Amino acid sequence: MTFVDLHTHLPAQASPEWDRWRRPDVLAAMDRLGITRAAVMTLDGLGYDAVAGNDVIAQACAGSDGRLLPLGTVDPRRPDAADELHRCADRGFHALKLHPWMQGFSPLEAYMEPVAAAAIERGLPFVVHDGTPPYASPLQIARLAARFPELTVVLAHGGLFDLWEDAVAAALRYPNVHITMCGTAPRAIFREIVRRVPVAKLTLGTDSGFGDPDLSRHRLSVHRAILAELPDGDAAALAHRNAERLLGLT
Amino acid sequence: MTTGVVDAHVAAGDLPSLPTLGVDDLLHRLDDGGVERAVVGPVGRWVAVDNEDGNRTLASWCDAHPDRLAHWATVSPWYGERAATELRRAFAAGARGLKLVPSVQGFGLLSPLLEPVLDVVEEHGRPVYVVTGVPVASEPLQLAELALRRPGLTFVMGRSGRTDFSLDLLPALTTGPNLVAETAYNGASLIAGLVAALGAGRVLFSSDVPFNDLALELERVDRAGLPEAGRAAVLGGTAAALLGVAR
Repeated sequence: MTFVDLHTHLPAQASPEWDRWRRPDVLAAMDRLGITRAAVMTLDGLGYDAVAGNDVIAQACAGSDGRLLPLGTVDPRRPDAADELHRCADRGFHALKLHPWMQGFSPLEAYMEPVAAAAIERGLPFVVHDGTPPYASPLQIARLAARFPELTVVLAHGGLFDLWEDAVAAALRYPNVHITMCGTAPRAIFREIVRRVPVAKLTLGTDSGFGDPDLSRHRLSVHRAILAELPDGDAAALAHRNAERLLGLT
Repeated sequence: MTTGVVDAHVAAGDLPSLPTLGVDDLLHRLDDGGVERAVVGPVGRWVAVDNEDGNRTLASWCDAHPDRLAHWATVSPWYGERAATELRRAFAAGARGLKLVPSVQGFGLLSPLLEPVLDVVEEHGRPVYVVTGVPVASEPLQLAELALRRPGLTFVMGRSGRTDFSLDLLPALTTGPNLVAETAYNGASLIAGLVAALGAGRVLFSSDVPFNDLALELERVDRAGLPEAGRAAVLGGTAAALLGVAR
């Protein structure tokens, strides 16, 4: 079974991991784990400067033969946020990552509207950190999806430990809400998400590049155990096909 | 079986939609994972409302398998004097410490409500295991403040503030010597970091089975690259000292 990892990060430039980050090493590590392609998100762009973060992401993913898939971000409070989304789309980015608590905004605030409209226009999904209030509760993010039914919204962590029931509820209620199973929640919670949510709405992620260097190996071990319990078609959808569809690769 | 591995927290009880294990299945799971002894903590209604039922049930498991199992007891501090009475009874019946789940039991860690219960724990010289990570009720720094208030008690940072309090974890745990870490849900590098910051005598191996994966959690400890003495402490020695679990 091969994977598309819908949730990885480029290390922050102030971290020791940044100095060690080499594209060939990242691709070799993906090979060892059976990951064909990985969505790459900024950390610095969430905390400092979205535009500069997007530029670094573009550089990091270039020359990977399409295996590292750039995701952009915008600071939704800025009046030119939609312009930056268009710039991401123009350069071939596959989705927009938003992180309400790192970026200091609520998904329900009015300045999200032009950003969501631009995302719909360009066909870019939102991948939104979720699971930690405020303002990253699944139901807050789902209301944004409800206001923009043409927008595709991915809950990037499936509600984590404490709000996974909310993430399930959001995915079941709103056709345009999806879930990436990625986070510290234990396998029993992920298994229950798979049992309740249509598999077409589910994808996998590791959060690699953020924190523990062993994270991708560990999380894929958990994911493999879940995939082993599914029919082949569902397992392939969860492991890579859904992500390929969400990211516009098919 | 790896000699001497002690799992400082496995879960027992019913939670909606999540798996549960009876005592026999739990012992099989421990056998499969190579764990010699485990300390069972109640979850679900045993935490929320039926404290005595859970405490007695887990005590019966431990009585039947004294070489394999010990247990945490819980009481809701909202029961007032009844909580203190039940906790004294549970300790007399063999419970090794108090488990608290503030988000389920409906109190803040710094509420005066908790003090009479903690007095009982301190009288008995037992540790307190607190499930942390749920905002408002059980943040790591709230537990750290409680540890400053109650220097005569030892507190285990259950669930390590997951999630998203990972940035609070080390600042909280290094607040005082009476705070102890557990390994569950932490990566190998953080386990190594916890041992470096706190000493292996303040880090407990735990799996949170059956919600979580025992083998994968043990693998993370192995990958932490701890020196043998530290590894032995994390995998059993610390629990033996803190919880009185014979090895």
